[in-house]
Amino acid sequence: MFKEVNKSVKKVDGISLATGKALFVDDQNFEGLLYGKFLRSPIPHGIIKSIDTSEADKLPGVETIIHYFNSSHIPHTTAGQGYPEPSPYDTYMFDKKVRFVGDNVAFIAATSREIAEEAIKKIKVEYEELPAVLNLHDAMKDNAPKIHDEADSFGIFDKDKNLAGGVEVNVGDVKKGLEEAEIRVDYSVDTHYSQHTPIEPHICITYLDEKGRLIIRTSTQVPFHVRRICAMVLETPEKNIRVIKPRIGGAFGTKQEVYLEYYAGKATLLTGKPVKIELTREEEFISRTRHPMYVNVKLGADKTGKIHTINMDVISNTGAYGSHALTVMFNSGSKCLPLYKAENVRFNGKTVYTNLPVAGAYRGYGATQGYAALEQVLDILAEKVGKDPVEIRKMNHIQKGETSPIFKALGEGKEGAETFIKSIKLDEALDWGVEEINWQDRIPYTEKTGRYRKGKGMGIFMQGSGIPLVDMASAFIKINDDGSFNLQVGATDLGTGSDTVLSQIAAETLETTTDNIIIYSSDTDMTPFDVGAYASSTTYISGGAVNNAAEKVKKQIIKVAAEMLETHEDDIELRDTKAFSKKNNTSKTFGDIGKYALYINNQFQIGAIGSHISQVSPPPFMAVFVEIEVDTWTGKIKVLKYVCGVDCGTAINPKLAEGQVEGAIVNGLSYALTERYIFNEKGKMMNGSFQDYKIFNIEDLPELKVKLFPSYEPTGPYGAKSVSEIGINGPIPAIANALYNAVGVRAHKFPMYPEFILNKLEKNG
Amino acid sequence: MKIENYFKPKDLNEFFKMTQGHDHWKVVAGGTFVSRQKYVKVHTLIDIQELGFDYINDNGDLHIGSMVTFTEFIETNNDYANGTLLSSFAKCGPITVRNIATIGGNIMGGYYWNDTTPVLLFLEAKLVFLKESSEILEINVEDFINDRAKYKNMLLKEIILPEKYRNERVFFNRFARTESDIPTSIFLGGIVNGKNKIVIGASTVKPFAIISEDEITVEEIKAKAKEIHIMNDLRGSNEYKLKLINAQYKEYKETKDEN
Amino acid sequence: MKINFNLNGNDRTFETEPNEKVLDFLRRIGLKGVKRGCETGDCGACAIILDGKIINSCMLYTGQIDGHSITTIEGLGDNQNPHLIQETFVDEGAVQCGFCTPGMILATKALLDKTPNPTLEEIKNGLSGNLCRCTGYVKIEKAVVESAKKLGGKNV
Repeated sequence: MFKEVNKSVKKVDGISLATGKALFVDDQNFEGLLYGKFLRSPIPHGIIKSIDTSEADKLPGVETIIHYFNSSHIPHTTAGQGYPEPSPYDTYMFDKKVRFVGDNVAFIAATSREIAEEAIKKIKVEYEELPAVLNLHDAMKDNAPKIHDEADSFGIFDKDKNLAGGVEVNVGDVKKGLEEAEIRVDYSVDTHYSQHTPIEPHICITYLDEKGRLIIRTSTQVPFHVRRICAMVLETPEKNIRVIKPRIGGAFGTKQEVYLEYYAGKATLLTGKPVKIELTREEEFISRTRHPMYVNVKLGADKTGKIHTINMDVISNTGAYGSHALTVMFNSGSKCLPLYKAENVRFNGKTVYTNLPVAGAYRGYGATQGYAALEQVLDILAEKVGKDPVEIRKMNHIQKGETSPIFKALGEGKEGAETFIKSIKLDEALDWGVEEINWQDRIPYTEKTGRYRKGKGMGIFMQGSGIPLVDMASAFIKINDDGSFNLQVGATDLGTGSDTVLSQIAAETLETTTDNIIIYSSDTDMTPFDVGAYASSTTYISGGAVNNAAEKVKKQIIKVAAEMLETHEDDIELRDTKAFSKKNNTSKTFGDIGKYALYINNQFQIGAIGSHISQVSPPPFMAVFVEIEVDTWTGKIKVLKYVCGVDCGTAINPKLAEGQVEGAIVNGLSYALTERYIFNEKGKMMNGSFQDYKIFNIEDLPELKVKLFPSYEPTGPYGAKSVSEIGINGPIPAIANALYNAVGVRAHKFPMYPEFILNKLEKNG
Repeated sequence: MKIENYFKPKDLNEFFKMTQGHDHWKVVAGGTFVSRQKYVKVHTLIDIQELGFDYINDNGDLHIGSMVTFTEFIETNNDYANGTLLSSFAKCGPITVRNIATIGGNIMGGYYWNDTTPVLLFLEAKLVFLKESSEILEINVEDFINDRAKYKNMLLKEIILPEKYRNERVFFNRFARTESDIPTSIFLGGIVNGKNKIVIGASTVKPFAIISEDEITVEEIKAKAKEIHIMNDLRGSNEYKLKLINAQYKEYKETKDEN
Repeated sequence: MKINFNLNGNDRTFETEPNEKVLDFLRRIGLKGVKRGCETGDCGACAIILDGKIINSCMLYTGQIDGHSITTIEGLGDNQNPHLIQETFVDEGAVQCGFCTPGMILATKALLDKTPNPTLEEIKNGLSGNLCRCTGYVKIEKAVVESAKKLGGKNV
C-alpha cells in the first residue's frame, strides 16, 4: 500500500508557522515603504464630476494620488480566473462612475498610514448621484437604473437589464415532467451576503528590483493570474512583472481576486518606491463577498418519491461588478443538480448587477447557495410521500458508473465535461451518520412541546475537483547532491496544506520520504505555471502534475542507477530513497545517484517538468446530520451536534483533509446562524467588525464529528479527489431541515438569527 | 488630533497637576476603550496604573478599585450576591479583553457597558470619583447612567457594592445569539427589602430599573422600555428586544415560582 | 519616550512614540510573529502574554508595558528548538494558514501555565479571544488537550 500518501505527515511549514518565523506578506521590511489608501465612494451610484486633490497634494509625505482623471481606462475583470476569463470586463482601475458605497474613487500613496488617511480627507470630489438598485429582485425591473452603461465594457450578458450573466439549459421536457408529476414541490430561498474573513486581510507590497522590474509580493490564491491581469491593466508585458506569494493567512476565495495589486504597482511605477496596501478589517467586508442568491426549485416525483423532474431557477446578485458573476451562478446548477438522477432537468440562471458590495469567489462557489434550496426540497418531498429523508436521498442520488447530462451541459461559464462517477462512498457515510446522530429516535415536530424543542436534520452534497479541460497545473522536480529533491510548483498554498500534500505525492512516486522534498511554491519567476488555488483543484490537478513530473524523474533515476549498477533499467527497483539491482543484489542511494549524475559521468541534471489537466471533475460526496435545539421563546437556534461523513477519495493527508472539512463546517455554521450584512438606506454595510459581524469562536462550537470515507478515484493522484470546499454546503440546509423537524417552520431566508426565527414561529401560531 | 504625550503619574498630586486646566486628555485604564476609538480628540494619554486603584477590599461593603481587571476580580471567586457579579464579569468580552480591561475603564469608557452597568445598577453600586483637589464625590450608579457626561473628566477611584446584597439571590439572564456574542438583552430580577426589582439593559439602551411593592408586570417593563426608547441595532429590532424581555421575564417568573 | 520592560526574558530599553500601539512597536523591532488581524481587539492574531496573561497587543500603548514583562511567540521556541506546545499544534494538525497560530499558542501557554489540567470549558475560555477561520477549532482544542497531557500537569 502507500508509504507517504494517506499518512498524516506533519505540515511541512508547520513549525515555522507555529514559531512565528514563517514570512507573510508584511513580515519583510522595505526601505522607504509607502502606504496606500483608498478614497471610497460615499454614495451607491453616481457620476464623478470632478476631483480636486490640490489640498491633499500639498500635504508633506503624499507621494502620488491616482484617480479617474489621471489614469488609463482599461476594461478588465478582477476575477482571478484562467484566460480568457468567463467574467465580464466591466471594471476599471478608476471609472467616472461609482457603483456602490465603498467603490474606489482615488488611491493615495504616502510615507505613513496617518498621512495617507489625512490626505483622503482633503480630497474634494463632486458627485452627481444617480438612483440605485439595492435589491437583487429590483435589478431587472423595466425602470431600474442601468448600472453598467459604459461603452467599452464587454462580456456583459445584457447591459440594459443589469444582467451580468445568464444561462438556460434543458434536458428532457421539464414543463411536461412537472405537469404530469404525481408529487410536486415548489420552494424558494434567498441566501445572504457574507464575507470570508481570513484572519489576514488582503495585503500586497510592490517594489522595483535592481533591474527595474515590478515585483508584486501579495496575499493571493492566483499568482499567475495576478501577473497577467496586472500586465494588462498596467499596460506592460508579463515579462516586466514578478509575482511572489509568501505564506498566506487564509483566503477561502476572497484572494482569487486581482484588485489591489495594480494600484500598488502603478504607484510603485510612478514613484519608484515600494508601496503597501493592507485593507483594514472594515474594508475587508466590502472587498469581496459571497453572491447572495434567490434560488427556486421545482421538483416532480412519483408517489414512491422517485424524482423525475428538477427545475432550478437562480438569480444571483454580483453587486457592482461581475467578478465570478457567471461561473458562481453556473455552479449552483452544475454542482447541485447532478447529485440527483432525473430525466428532465432545467437550469435557468441569471446574475444581476446591484449597487451593493461586489461578490466574488467564496468556498462553495454557488453550490452552497443551490443546496440551501435543493436539500430542503428533498425533505419536503420526503414528507409528502411519507418517506424518511435518508431513504428518499438513497433512492435518488447518483451512483457509481452513472452520469448526469448536467456535467456536460454546465461547465465554467460554458459547456462542461461528461463525467461518470467512478468513486462514491455516500451510502456508507449516510449509514454512519444515522448511527452517530441516533436518527431512529427522530420524531416529528407535531409531537414536541415545551419551550426548548430539539430537532434533527440532514442533507447530502457534492462538489467538484478542479475545472475539467480548463485548469492546468505544472510542477518541476530536480535532484540534489544528497539525493534530496527540489519541488517547484505553481500551486498556491493558502494555509490549506497543499505544500505538504504535494510533497507527499512527490515522495510517494519517487520512493523517498516527504522530508526529502524541498518545496517552493507560487513565484512566477521561479516556479512553473499553475492556475492557482481555487475550484477545489490543488490536490487533484496540481497533485496530478507533481505525479507526472515525479514519474519522469523516476525514469531518469532508474537510467542512471542502471548505468552505475551495470545492469538493465528493468532490473532496477526504487525503494526507500535507494535504487536496487534485483539481479546483482547491489544498491545505490539517491545521494550516490545525484552526485554521479551531477559530477561523475555522462553528467546531466536529473529533473523534469510535468503538467496536468483533467478531462473530468470527479465530485467528492458528503452526508451531514445535525441536532439542534430551538428556544421557542427567543427564536435562538443552538447546534448541539454536527456529524459529517466525507468521501474525498484517498485522503493524501487525512489530518489535513479533516481540518479542511472542520474549518468549512464551522465557517458554514456561523454563515447559517449569525453572519449577516446590515445595510443602511444607501447600501452601506454598517457592521464591518468582528464585534458586529459574528463569526464563531471556540466557545460557540457544537460537538463536531468528521469522518472520512475513503473511496478510490482512478483519475486522481493516488485515488484522491477534492475536499476543501464541500464542507461549507452542509450547515444551512441541514440546520433548516432540523428546524422544521423541531418546530415545523421552514427557513427560506438566512441567516437563521433569533429574531427571524421568532417571527416565523409567531406567524405559524 | 495626534497623541503627543503619554504620562504615568506616580500619585494623585501628579495626576491633578497634569490634568488641571488641560483639555483633550484621556485616562488609560486598561486602554481598551481609547484604542478602539477611531476619532477621539486626544492629545495626552494619562496612564493611571500607578495610582494604586487595583485593590479589592471585602469587609462589609465590597470595594473594587477602578483599575481592577475583570480577570483579577473573577480570580478572587468572590461570591457577592451569590455570584451575580462573577457571572456578569465572566462574560465581559473574551479573555484577551478581560485580562486587560478594567472595571473602572469599562464603566467610564462604555465599552461592553451593557454588561457591567445593568448589574451594578441592580446591586445599587456607588461610584467614588476624585475631583480636582482630591475632593471625593460618591454617587449612585443610577445618577451616573443618567448623566454620564457630567463625570467625563473625573477620576473614578472605586466601585462600592453595598453589604446588603452580599447574600441576595439575583436572577441574572444574559441573552446573546451565541455563547461568545455580545448580549442583546440583560435581565436582572429579585426581591430586595421586600420590594420587587427588575433591571434591563441592552446594547443600545441605557439600563433602567423598576422597583415596586407589587408584582412587576411585563407590561410595566415594556412601557418603561418604550419610554427609554429601545433602538434597533445590529442584534435585533426594538420589537424583537421587547419580545426578548418578555421571554426573560417569563423565565424569571418561572424561576421565582420554583423557589 | 523611553520604555523599559522584559521582553522574552531579557530586560530591554526602547525608544517609542506616545501614540504607538504595542502591536506596531513589536513588529517594528522585528517581532513579526505578532500579527495584525483587526486592530480592534477582536481577533487575537496580535496576542502576547503580559505578566502571565494573554492580551491583545493592538489595544495597548507602549507606555502601558513600561515596567512589565511580555512574551511573544519568538520567546517560546524556534525552528531548531520548538516549544512543546508549538510541536503539538503541528502534530495535531492545529495549524493551517498559521496566521492565528502564534496567538493561539500563546493563549495556550498562558492557560496551561496557570491551569495545567484544564477542563474543556477552561480551554474554551482560555482561547476565547483568538479567532481562527481555517481549522474550525476542533484540532486546536485537541492540541491544547494533548499539550496539557504531554506536559503532565507541569508548568511550562
